[in-house]
Amino acid sequence: MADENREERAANLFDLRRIIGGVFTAWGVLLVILGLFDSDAEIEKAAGVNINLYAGLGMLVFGLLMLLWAFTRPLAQELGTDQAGGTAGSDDEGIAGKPDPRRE
Amino acid sequence: MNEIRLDTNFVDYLIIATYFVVVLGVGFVAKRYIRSSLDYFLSGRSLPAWITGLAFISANLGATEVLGMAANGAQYGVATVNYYWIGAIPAMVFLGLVMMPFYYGSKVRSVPEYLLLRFNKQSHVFNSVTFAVATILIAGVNLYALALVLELLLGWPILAGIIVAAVVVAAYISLGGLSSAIYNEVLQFFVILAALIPITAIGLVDVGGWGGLQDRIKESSIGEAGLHALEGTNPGDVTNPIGATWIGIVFGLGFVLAFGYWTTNFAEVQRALSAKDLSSAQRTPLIGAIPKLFLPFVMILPGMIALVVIPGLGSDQPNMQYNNAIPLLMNEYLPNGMLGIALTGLMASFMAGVAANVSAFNTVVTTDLVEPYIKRGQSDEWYVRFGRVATIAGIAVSILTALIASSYDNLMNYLQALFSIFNAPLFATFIIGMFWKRMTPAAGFWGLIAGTITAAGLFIGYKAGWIGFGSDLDESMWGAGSAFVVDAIVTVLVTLRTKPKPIEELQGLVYGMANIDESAKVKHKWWESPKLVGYSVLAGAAILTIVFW
Repeated sequence: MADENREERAANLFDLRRIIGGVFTAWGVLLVILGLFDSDAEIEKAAGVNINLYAGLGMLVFGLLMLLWAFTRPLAQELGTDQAGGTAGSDDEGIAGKPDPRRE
Repeated sequence: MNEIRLDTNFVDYLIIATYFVVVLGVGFVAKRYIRSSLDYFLSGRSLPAWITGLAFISANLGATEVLGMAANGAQYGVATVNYYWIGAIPAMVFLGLVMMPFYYGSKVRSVPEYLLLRFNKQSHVFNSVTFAVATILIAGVNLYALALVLELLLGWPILAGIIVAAVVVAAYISLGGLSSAIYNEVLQFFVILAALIPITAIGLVDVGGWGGLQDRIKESSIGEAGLHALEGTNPGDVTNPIGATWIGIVFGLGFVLAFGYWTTNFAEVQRALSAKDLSSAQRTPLIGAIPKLFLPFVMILPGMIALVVIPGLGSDQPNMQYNNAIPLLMNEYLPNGMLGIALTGLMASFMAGVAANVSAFNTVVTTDLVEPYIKRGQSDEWYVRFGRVATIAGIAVSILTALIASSYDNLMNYLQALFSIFNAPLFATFIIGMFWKRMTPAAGFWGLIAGTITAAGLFIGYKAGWIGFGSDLDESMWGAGSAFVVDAIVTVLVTLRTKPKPIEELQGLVYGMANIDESAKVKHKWWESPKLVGYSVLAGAAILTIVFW
């Protein structure tokens, strides 16, 4: 039971990197495409900076790095470090420990 | 040219729409992992430090931070960095290194709950109620600020903007609880950066880099003094645009307001309490402090850029208030695509602000008021369900408080006034309670009451015109300072006349009696040492302040 919960929670962590990576990769691609087609007028407006292109590339790189991190430090490894360290248990205990003055 | 309706197209709306879909999706996914009330309110106390750290800082990057800091940058110049380097950073380090062992080690689920264990029920109830009220007022500020921006930029009617944002946040918080709030906050952090970095970059190119900006600032309304953080703040000879002495900045802003906010505001502390062990909980505010060191470059700089680039900013012309600095820059520079990202970033920041407060609200109402005093002994699922109801009710009420906020033209000042009333007295009570074992429960209660009444009284007196202050900000600094002092004095006086708790009951709650942390057995890598991170960040803040003196 403890392992299952831990697994699920580690999966949560994992999901977040994928979500962020996915979102930024998608936006990055979109912006790069826009940037390649932006008119001169639009570039001039942004003080001469083709911001869609640059921001898009930046986001794309960031998104891919996030995804890379998510996939190269997979679930098993996260769980492994957790268990080896023997972290202070709190996953299933709820508010265990000393007598609870709240629940008389 | 006063018309600043943005020229948005379907690409921008596509970007915004995908963001909303992801945010709601996270809510649904998080819901599946909720098995207990601990999961719902404290994310199962299982999150790693980088997530809680980013959520911690993101919860603070609400509407008022993003818009307000730029506004302050335009109005006061470089001195605004003091909010960060003298105010926030030391406070966050203090929270991480000194107070977190008590918060986390005592296993309390909320800040008010600490008061219950350390003092008594009365202080617990008082703080829970005032905190609940405060969070709803603050959530309302964020909702209103969002609606203002949507109306300005997209032409949406104010009420429509408020309701759309409220519904989306209500949905993902009530579904997924704190996990949902935190995951989205981490996402929001990056989205906000994705919006602000390009704006800052373009702006700097436009004005000719930092050197060009400096030249143009010297010619602007804030002049040379606007380029300095602390120069020109000597008592009796204040030439810095911020209009305060360094004493006021360091003690009023830095100590009472900043410490009061970061160390006792449950919306922040909750994120640290959800960490998986004490070291992670300690590192949460410390990790959050690292981006905080550098945020001035993307939050204050745009304000200064706006001052020199947007003619008439800060004047009485329609739509030219300082709060509009960022929206005006967006209108000035951004093409479609990037514009959608920037709009999404703004919305993300508002939603982060609302969500942080609503998730703190539902926790305090459920676990601090309803569970112990109103409906005890119900099943765990009952409390989770109630938490969901509380979320929706809280958001509904904050829509109303949004309308209160609408009567203020500088939201940042309204917020500081709220903090002076709700956070400053609490901070005094906490600090004394944590370090002075002799402090009695009765003192905990009466100190809080005295402090809160003091700050509220000053506020009302100022608003009613009975008491004069230099400005709104001046009133809140004095309010916070007075509340702190009055609370402290009353605390000491009452303590000397009443009985303290037996010392054993203070285990884990006071200095010198912290719970031996089980996670001391965990092997942490050297760079994960809280002290190392904390002192490095402090050093960074000191260096930056000197550089920009």
